[in-house]
Amino acid sequence: MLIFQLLAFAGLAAGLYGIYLRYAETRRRALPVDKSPVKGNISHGIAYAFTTGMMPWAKESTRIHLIAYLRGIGFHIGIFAAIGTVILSPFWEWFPPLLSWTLSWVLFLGALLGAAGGLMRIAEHNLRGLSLPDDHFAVWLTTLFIAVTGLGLVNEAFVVPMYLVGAVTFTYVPLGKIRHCLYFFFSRTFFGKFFGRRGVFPHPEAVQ
Amino acid sequence: MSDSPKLTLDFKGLLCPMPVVKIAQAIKQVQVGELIEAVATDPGVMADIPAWTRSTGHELVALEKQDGKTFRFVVKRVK
Amino acid sequence: MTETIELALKALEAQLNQPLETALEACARCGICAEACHYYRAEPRVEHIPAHRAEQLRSVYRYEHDFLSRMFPVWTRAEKLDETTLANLTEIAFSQCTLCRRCTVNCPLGVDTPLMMRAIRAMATAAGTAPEILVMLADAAIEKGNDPSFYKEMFLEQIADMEKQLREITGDENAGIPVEKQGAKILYVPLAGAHTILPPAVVFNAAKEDWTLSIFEASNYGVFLADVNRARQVAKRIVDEANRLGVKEIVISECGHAYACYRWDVPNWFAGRFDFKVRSLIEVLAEYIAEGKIKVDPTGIPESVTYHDSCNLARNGGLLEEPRYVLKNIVGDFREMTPNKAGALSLRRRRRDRCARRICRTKNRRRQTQGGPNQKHRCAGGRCCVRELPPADRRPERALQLERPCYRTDGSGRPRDAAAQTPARGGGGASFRRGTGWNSKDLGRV
Ligand code: SF4
Ligand code: SF4
Repeated sequence: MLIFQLLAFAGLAAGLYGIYLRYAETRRRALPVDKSPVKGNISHGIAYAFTTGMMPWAKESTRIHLIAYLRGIGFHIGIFAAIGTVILSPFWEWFPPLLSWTLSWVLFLGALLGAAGGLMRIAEHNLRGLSLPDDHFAVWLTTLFIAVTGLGLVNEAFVVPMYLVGAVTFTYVPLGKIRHCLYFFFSRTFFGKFFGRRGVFPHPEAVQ
Repeated sequence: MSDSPKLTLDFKGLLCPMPVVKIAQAIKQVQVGELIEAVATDPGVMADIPAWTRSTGHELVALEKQDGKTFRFVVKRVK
Repeated sequence: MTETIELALKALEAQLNQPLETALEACARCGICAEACHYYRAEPRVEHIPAHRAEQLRSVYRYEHDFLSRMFPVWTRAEKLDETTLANLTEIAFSQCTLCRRCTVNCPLGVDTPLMMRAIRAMATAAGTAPEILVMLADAAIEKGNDPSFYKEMFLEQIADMEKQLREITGDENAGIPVEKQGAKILYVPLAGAHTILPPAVVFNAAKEDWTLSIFEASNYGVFLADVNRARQVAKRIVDEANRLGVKEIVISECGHAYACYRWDVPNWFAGRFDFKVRSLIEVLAEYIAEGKIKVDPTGIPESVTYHDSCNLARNGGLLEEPRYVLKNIVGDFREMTPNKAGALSLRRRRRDRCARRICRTKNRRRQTQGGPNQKHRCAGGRCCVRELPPADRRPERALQLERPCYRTDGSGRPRDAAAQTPARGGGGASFRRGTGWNSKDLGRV
């Protein structure tokens, strides 16, 4: 068991290191300095980008696709819950039963929503056209990871598969599309800087 | 090579930069040395057409204001 | 590798900074941006999803930069750039994206698709595959800056003609259109043509503004090409003019892209030589009305009028209140677009959109009773915006009419019923009177 656990942690370390390398690579690139006079407020823009700007009602797209939005949110909660669960695996025995129970349901739900996303990628015409093999692989791998983590929490037989799948998932993060988790932060920051400087967001009557 | 224009175009009502866009398209339809004549109503052509011929190397044979409202110009394809 | 491809790739590398790499990396291909794009709305095809557009560049980028993609190109559809791909990229970036940033705002990650489209435009320009006409227009503009003397005389002649019209319209013998006025406060930069000179001249005169007209035009085709070198040369004409005349402020005609160019780009290109305040004419109009420098007739336009925002002024420039403020002061019945059956959950939120053009809903009744010609929607800048309107509004019987903001003149720049114009009232206030408008016939020509 320990060996598999170590494998998962090694995968996690590799993934984190890979993400760090990506981060360093992007940071090495030039960061343009904007000298145009500020109209709005850059820090408010950045704050908006990470808070209210993420709310489902803030964008037309998420208002139209509220279900898809909620599905995505549930899936991502599942992912982070699964990562936390694996990291905390040495302490599982001290988990109060209610926590384990809740966590496993969060994970099952996350896996279900992940699978729904995976199926949508196959079934829905637009998404199928957009998706790369990388996308299909990533969504099913992550879904499997969340599912076995949930199962591992309630049934010991799934603990080894959990570590194995976890190791693969973690290692894959910097290699494939999952690394958008890193670029999310870059992207929202640039978004906030741009629209904040220009006084577009946050705006009471923001442009959408 | 004759002095009568090969093409006569009507750019009346077109606003900048459409006269330049149209003449640039039209110049490809004539042979080197041939002329295109056009009339436009946008006074912008008075500056834009000479600028265009200067930057492209074609020759501006004539550019004149007619009856205060329209502008006539003749361009020769040079290359 | 041919030289063309080499140049294109070199241009990509040269642009690869943090924001661009982020845009290339961040997309999760969730497809949620599809409906944000008016191209997709007009023609719902996979190719019109913003992310699909961006993917075409990403596949090239991945081939050059991504470890996994180089090992297994199929895995991420990575592709080496070749002539066909470059032609396809050029077509996408120049003909299928207006750089409106609507997708960016609607993306959960805020992926900057227009930044990538700009990167492609620059690649195409470097490789020589960019639309020839844009290059030509940019070069002609640069030529004007190199030696304005070849057209200056004609230009001044035209301005003298316009001045006559201006006096006729305003009934003010002293009204003028100053050119190259040393030490003026405002340098007003129009587009080429009378329609962006005469109406603002009416306003500037009414407001007793200390202004001067630029001998150049505000448009910058170098910006369209994403060719910083050409764009700088085009802009330099106005930077130099402003410095030479010692003005305090540069006011740009209603053109959205020109405003974006001088407000947001030029300060970066001419750091140290460009500390002028840059405003859009719309902001100046709003200020004049607010400060009472011009008097306007609040019921001057009796029809219901709504406003369709410009991407460059609003989404990319934060100019939201000013146009509305102006409209509310000259329109009897100004309405924001409200939700309708077009399907979007809230059109109220969608209302602020591309192309700073007023959409004037003239009623069927009016069209019938006045026997006007078929009204079209038409927009001087881009026509893209119209495609986004809910289908119901696209029906001609709804007689939707797009008009220029704030002032309306016919093609000659002369108000349609100039004779009926009252001269400036209340200390020289301009009046935005009913009938001083573009009629639909003129609109058809814009
Ligand atoms: S919404 Fe954003 S993340 Fe999703 S596909 Fe579009 S660009 Fe990519
Ligand atoms: S910037 Fe505008 S036109 Fe371009 S892809 Fe995005 S939504 Fe479509």
